[in-house]
Amino acid sequence: MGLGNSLLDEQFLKRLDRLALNARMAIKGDMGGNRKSRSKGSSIEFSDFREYIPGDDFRRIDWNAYARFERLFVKLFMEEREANITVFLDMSASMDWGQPSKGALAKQLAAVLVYIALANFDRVAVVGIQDKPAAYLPYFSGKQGFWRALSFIEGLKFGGKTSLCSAVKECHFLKSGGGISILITDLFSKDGHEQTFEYLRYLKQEVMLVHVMAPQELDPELSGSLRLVDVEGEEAKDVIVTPGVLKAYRKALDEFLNDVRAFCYARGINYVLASSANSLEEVVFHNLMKPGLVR
Amino acid sequence: MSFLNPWGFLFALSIPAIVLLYLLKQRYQEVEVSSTYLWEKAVRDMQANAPWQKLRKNLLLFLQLAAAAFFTLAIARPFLFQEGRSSEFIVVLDCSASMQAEDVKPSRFLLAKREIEGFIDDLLPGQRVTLIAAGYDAEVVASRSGDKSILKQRLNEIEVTNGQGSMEQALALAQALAKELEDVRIRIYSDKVYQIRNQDIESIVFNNEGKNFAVELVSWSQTSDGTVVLSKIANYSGEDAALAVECLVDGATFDIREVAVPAGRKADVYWTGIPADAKRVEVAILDDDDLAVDNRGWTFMELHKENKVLLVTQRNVFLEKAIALRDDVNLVKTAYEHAVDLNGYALYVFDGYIPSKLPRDGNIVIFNPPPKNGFLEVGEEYVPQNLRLSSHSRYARLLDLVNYEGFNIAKARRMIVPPWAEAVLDGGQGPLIMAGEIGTQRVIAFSFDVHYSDIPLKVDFPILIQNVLAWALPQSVVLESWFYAGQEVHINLLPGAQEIRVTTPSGKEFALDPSYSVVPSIDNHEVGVYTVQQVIQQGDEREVLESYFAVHVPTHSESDLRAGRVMSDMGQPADVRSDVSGLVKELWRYFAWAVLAVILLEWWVYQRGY
Repeated sequence: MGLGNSLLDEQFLKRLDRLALNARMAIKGDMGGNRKSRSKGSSIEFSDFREYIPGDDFRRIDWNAYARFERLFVKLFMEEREANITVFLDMSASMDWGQPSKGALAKQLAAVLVYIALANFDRVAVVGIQDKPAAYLPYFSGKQGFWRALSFIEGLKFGGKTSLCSAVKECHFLKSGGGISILITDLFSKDGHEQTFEYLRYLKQEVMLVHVMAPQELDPELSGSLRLVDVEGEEAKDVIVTPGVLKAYRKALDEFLNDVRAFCYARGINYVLASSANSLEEVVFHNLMKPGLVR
Repeated sequence: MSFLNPWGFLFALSIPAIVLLYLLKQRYQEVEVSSTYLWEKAVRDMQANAPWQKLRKNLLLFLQLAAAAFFTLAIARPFLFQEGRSSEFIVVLDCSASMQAEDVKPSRFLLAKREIEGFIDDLLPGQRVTLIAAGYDAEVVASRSGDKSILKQRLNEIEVTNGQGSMEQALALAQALAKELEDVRIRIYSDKVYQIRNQDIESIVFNNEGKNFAVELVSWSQTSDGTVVLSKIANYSGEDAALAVECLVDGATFDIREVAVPAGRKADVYWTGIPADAKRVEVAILDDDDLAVDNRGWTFMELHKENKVLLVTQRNVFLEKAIALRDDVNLVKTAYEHAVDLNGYALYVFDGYIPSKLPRDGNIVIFNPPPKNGFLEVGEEYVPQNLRLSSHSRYARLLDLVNYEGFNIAKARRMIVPPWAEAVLDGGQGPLIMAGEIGTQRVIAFSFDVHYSDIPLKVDFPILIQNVLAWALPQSVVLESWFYAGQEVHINLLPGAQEIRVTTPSGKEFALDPSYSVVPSIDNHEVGVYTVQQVIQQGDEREVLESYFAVHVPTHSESDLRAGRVMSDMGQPADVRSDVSGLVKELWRYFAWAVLAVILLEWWVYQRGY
């Protein structure tokens, strides 16, 4: 599979075939499609065939095809991928940190989400953001485009600072026509995250936040007199790390996470916290599936 | 509260140093983190939560300052006078040869001195020390002094000796001094454990049970095979030893032998074939031990010189026979009429005769001095009764082993004792025997004629004559050759000796005054060979007589380095109080505990992360 091997293996991709992003919001586009309509099986324009997987709506099985090939195929239709899905991947230096690295998990998650979106005939764009959009893969659709997207994601390099808000605001291709915006970030942003989400909501985007954190951030094991150097070049901080300071750190972390969660809940933003200590499988089938972000 | 060591306050400089270090901040270890956002928030929260956090942050600083302050106080050694008493110490330092042993480093003596110096440093104001050095004699080198510099100076002047030491004497002295003082404590610095009955003393012992080998004796004898030297090698260590023993004849190696000596035993080593003309033999142990000073011994072969003795008599077979008993005597007899211009004899014996001009070059023995002789004042004859020995006389040894009480003397002449002489045996109305010295010339006078007594018929007669000859015929300059350090060395002055020079083993030379009739004793604290030269002027002839003696360590008391326990019960001490520990209360221990407590607290605070 070439490039694909390093991020995702085929076995895993197969398991992803069944999954779909769950967006509460109906998406209205020029194409007149509606994501909700997909479940009814109605179609206007035939797009593609896909082999039947148990669990698919059997009403959509193409019996003619079955008659000819003696295999079950389901018909896929154009209007069902009317959703414009934009995957924002935080590419700042802070993402390339932690043991295991947050960046690796973030890239894998981006690939998984792209795959799931493509598998569901959505249009997908991938944006790498730092303090401005650093890399952009324009909207495309069709599963055949996945490998291009994969190599694009793989090619992304981490570095620089994060300014979520200003970066997102510079993404002029985002039209206020609605769509799904997925942010994969550690939220260590210079200008905060609240404004970003408000802006995306203003653009009628359904927002999904995948908050990636390293285990060293969730439970730091530091002690002694330390000069904490920010990988993004912020001012270093001299701290005598004592058990008391660690306690205060955990408290600050809890407050931060609770703030984010509360903010997201209040605005109908789907929020997922993923630790880079966990495997991709765990994150996808547990963290994403359990709250129903994918199904 | 006063301080024993005010210099300790210099340590207070550490307090500004600690503050300075805090100001200069600690060095931080650099650690890379993804973001300082949360850390800033955490630290800000901590400070926000506790307004006195700043103080808390410096809690460690305050604890460290407290520890430094307590430590400063501890080393300044504060104390409180519990009662206004002063105290006395009597310090006895053993200076005997065994204190030279190096089984404790640098040596027992040096370590003891160092300890005493430390003790002097620790003296409290008002405490006084009497320092007694137990050298050849016990000597009070510092008396009831509280001046530390004087005490230390006196202490440094004390030197270790090669002798037996005088601990008994020193302890007696210490006890006598203790009786006069109140609150006194006796401290004994020695290599043996001392105890005094009914007296609380502190015996500070410097002894590591070192191993030691010693040359205990070197002597020689003339046998048919020539000269044989006998030496006694002692092993005072706890193990059997095979020692390399060297024999040197006149300074050159003669023989080296390995001698096996079992632990704690002595071995006799004979050296045969010593050259006939050898003058000096040294026996030395080559192996190393902890006390080097007793590893050598010396003996000297004096060539027996014949002594010419002139007997001036009209016939006295008793005297003739008794004098001739000595091998080394060449007896010449002459009658009164031929006795003119007398010289060239070591001893002149005048029997019933005194020449008008007395010889000056030899000693003189006079029997039955005639009246009006121009030398001795002689009176009438009498019958001696109640013979009495002047036992306090220096010349009493002339009658050693002589039963003078059984003497019967028919008649003797009354003699007046001249200023240079002393009566030795008194016959009731005057001396029967008197002796004395005129310059270096020895004179003995008998106031009776042996023919008018039963003395020649007794066994005491030859003994008496030999005693007389032993004194009047000084064979060598030094009577013996084996001396112990500190023992008095008697030098026999030869008649006519003008000058006496003594060279010590280290080459120091000093002169003795021959005009003293008293036999001088030499300052002989050095171990080794001493050379004595006597310059004898006889007319125009000038003769230098050289002889030797050697000073050794008293091995019988000093070579065994094991710690003995010595009980001294001289005198019953009076009500000597000895407990002075309650005199002052030193507080440094409390401050030291405080330091420890503060450091533990600091550690706890650090661990808890306040």
